[in-house]
Amino acid sequence: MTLSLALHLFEDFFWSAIDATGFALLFNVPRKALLTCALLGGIGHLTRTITHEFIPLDLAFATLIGSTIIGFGGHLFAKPLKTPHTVLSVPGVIPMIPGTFAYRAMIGFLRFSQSTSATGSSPILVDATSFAVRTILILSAIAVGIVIPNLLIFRKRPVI
Amino acid sequence: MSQSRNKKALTHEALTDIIDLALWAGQLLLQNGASSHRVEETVHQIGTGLGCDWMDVLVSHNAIVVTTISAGDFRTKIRRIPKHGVDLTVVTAINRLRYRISDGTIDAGKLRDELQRISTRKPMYPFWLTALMVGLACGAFCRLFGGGYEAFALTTVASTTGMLVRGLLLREEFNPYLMVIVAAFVTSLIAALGKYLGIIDYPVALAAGVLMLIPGVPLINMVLDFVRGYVNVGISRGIFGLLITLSIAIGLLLAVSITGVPGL
Repeated sequence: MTLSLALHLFEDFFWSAIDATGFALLFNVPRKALLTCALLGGIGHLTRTITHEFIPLDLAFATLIGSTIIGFGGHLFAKPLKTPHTVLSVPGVIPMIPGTFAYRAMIGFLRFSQSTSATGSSPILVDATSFAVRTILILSAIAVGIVIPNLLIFRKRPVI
Repeated sequence: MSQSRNKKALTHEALTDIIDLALWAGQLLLQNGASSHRVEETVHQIGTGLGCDWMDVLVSHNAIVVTTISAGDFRTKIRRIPKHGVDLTVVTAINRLRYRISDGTIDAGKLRDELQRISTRKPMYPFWLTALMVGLACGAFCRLFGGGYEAFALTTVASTTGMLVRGLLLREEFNPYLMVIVAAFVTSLIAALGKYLGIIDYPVALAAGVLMLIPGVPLINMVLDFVRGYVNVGISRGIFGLLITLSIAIGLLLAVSITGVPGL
């Protein structure tokens, strides 16, 4: 039981780290920052999985916690690596993108458009809309989480 | 503005030089995925660091307007930003230049050399490596979504091919929306072939494969811009991100309409 749980959490960390690294390459992140991106991606997604599966929090709320941790991590490593904090946190949050929800919403809307009977199509529409709303909520949680450290702690006075 | 009294009045030529350098740095930032606040702050710091009294910067989605002021004399210039991409190495390099300017360890001539070096630098990673790693990243998405190892391999192959197609179309300067539609179509078509290869969870590969095309940087910059008060730039970025996302959906739906629509 505990072994399979540990394996589950390790896989979660591992694949999110791979994910963040791939997107860091796509965004042409400096070589020195790659490992940090992978680490932040793994830790952030692991945090989301733990808070979602064990507390259990709603997935959008768990995403907010995960991406806030990534946001703080970006600020933490920005000074020693001499990079802007977003360079580290943007690839880090990529693993939390709700791909399956977006896919289900899309396929649902397609089926709705192809459906011929009104009674048969309404549950399809309700399902698709629900997935679309969850997708938007999770995406917003990702973006807001990155910004939260700026709002709470790093409120540097604007130079302009 | 109190410190400005210690500054020497600049000649009109010096002002021209400074506005060129500041605009160049701002253009590189905005082209490569920096938030509006970072663009404005950097342009301002470069100008005042090189001797201007004040810089006023207007950032838009596809142009920057800058006015430099020195002892009553002023110059204004507009720079168009025709193309947007993501290159965070450029953003990092210019961020470092900004601190060197406020330290006073770099002058206008050296700054010009550095900007020239940054804008002509080759990509940090070879194209095939990026394509392969992004393919693996989509495979990782597939595993995170609960797909098996067969679906993982399928996603990796599909997304790597999609990345190669995207790179080819990018080089030939196709319209970005068309590029995304074609790349999403190719990726989804390969992932949908899993149906005929007997991979049961191929719908997971369909959902995971196209995620490499998600406009993550514009969407996150949108929120950063909203929070910092650049609402107009944020709206432009959001609409751009939405259109790219719709293009992904079009490519995917075209592919599954050929092979039959699988539920997840």
